[in-house]
Formats: sequence, C-alpha cells, structure tokens
Amino acid sequence: MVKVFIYPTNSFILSDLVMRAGHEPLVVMNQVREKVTTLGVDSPPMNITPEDPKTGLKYAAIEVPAGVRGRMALNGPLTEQAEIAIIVEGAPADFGCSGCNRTNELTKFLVRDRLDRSKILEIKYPESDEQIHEFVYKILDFLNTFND
Amino acid sequence: MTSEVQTNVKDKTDTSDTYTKIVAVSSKTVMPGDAAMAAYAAGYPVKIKETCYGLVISGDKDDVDNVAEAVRNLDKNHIFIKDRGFPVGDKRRCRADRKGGQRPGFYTLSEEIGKFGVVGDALDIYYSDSPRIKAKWPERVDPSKIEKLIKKFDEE
Repeated sequence: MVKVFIYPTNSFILSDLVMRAGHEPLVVMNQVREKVTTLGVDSPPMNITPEDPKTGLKYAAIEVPAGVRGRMALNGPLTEQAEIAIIVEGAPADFGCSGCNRTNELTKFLVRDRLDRSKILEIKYPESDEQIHEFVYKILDFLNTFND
Repeated sequence: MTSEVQTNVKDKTDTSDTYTKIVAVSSKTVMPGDAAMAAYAAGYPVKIKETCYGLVISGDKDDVDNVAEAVRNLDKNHIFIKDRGFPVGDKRRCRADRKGGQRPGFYTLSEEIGKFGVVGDALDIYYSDSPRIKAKWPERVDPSKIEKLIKKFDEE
C-alpha cells in the first residue's frame, strides 16, 4: 500500500479509485477533519491557530497572500507524505474554497518537484463518456503497478 | 491538599475521534434507502444520515469503515466512498442551523456524482474480460501548422 497524492485534493472519484486499488489517498478532507473535530478555544469555529500560518510559511514565502499560506498549511503536509501522485488537469469542479489557483499551482509544483516522473500520472479531466472509461482504466492501471 | 475528580464521561463537544465517510449510490439495483437499511443492519454504533445521493456515516474509524464496506458490498462497482471532514449534523455545515443556502461543497459533489454512472460501467468493464472502450482526447495543434497559416496570411 502506498500513499497517493490526488489532485484535486478533494476529488470523490479519485479518492474512491485509490481506495479500491488498495492504497491510501491523501485527501484534504482528513486535514480538515483534524481541524474541525479537535477541541480548541483559540479560534472557533474552524480552529485555525497562529501555528497554521507558520506551517504554511514552510511552503510559501511571506510575500505570498495569507490565503495561499493558510491553504498550504493543509495541502503542504500532503505533498510531503506522497509516495505517488495522480494529477488531473482542467477539472471544472476546481473552484470555490478549493479553487485558489496560486495554491493549486504551488501544490502541484511541490509534488512534481519531489517525486520522480514515473511516479506521477498526469491526466486530463474527462468530458465524454468514452473519456471517463479511459480515465478510469488509466488510473487503475497506474495504481496497480504499485501493488506489492 | 488537592482533590481531583476523575470521570469517564466523555465531553460531548469533543469529537476528535469521530471519523466520517460519504457513501454515494449510483446503482440500477440499489437505492439510497436500501443502502441505509444495509448500514443499519450492519449493527455498528454509528450515526447515519440518509441523503438524496446516499449516506453520511459518522463514528469510530473501524465502525465507519465496516459499515461503509457493508454498504459497498451491495453493488461493489456502483457504490462510491470518500472521507469527509465534518461529522454528521455539524452546526458549521448543517443547513438547518445556517438558515438554508447551498451545502458547502455541493457543486463539487454534484459534478462528480453525475459521472458515477459511467465510472461504475467503466469499473464493470475493467474488472471483467470485456473489451475496453477507447476514447479520443483533444490533441495539441502542431506548431508547424500555425506557422504555415501565419506565413499564408503574411503573403496575402
């Protein structure tokens, strides 16, 4: 079992496919869970403490907007744990609170920089039914090559 | 002399060991209601919320994993599971407490759940001996073609 970084970091399809293949998806939901279920009176309701921007500073410089550093406090540790990665380009759902493009670019850069190219699958987001089929096959084939 | 009162009653606001999963059902044979019945029948002490797309299950990690797996076994390739950060009924997410509006994360969920029908069919084919379906992907334009076009316009 390997730890798989997925991008978009909250993707339902990718997270499910990774679990199906018997690996562990590194998803932002688990980072959020740690924040929102831990008792904290520092800064309710989300428990963002002064430590979080410091964690973010490890990945982004001080000149970078606070929002990017805050997001990197969640995304950054995921990139460090990753053993392999699946990066989907052009996902239309990549907006809202997960749609900060600078954070996304930085997160993808850190993964590409850290991992060997053979351990990263880069694939386009599927638009048609046939493309969804090929999307699923490619991801499962890639994941199965890392089975023990 | 100090006296310490020890209690084994858990603080109700402490949910640090709560683990939550979303189960989305996109099956021709299993309805979200059937999935809920299977989850209750699994008999684990978890909190289950029935939704239009499936279930949200909260509880201890092992219990939630076991219930989610029991539900997935109803139709393995057409029931999908993912982790969720907020527990079931959390006031920061619950629309009843937030006085309506979209569920945060609705658009992402809606986009992906809409594709689960085809993803399930793809999984059926992947795990069987059926021939795989091939697709055409948009390709990048050859730069020499653009060069030719520019030259053509220049000449005109």
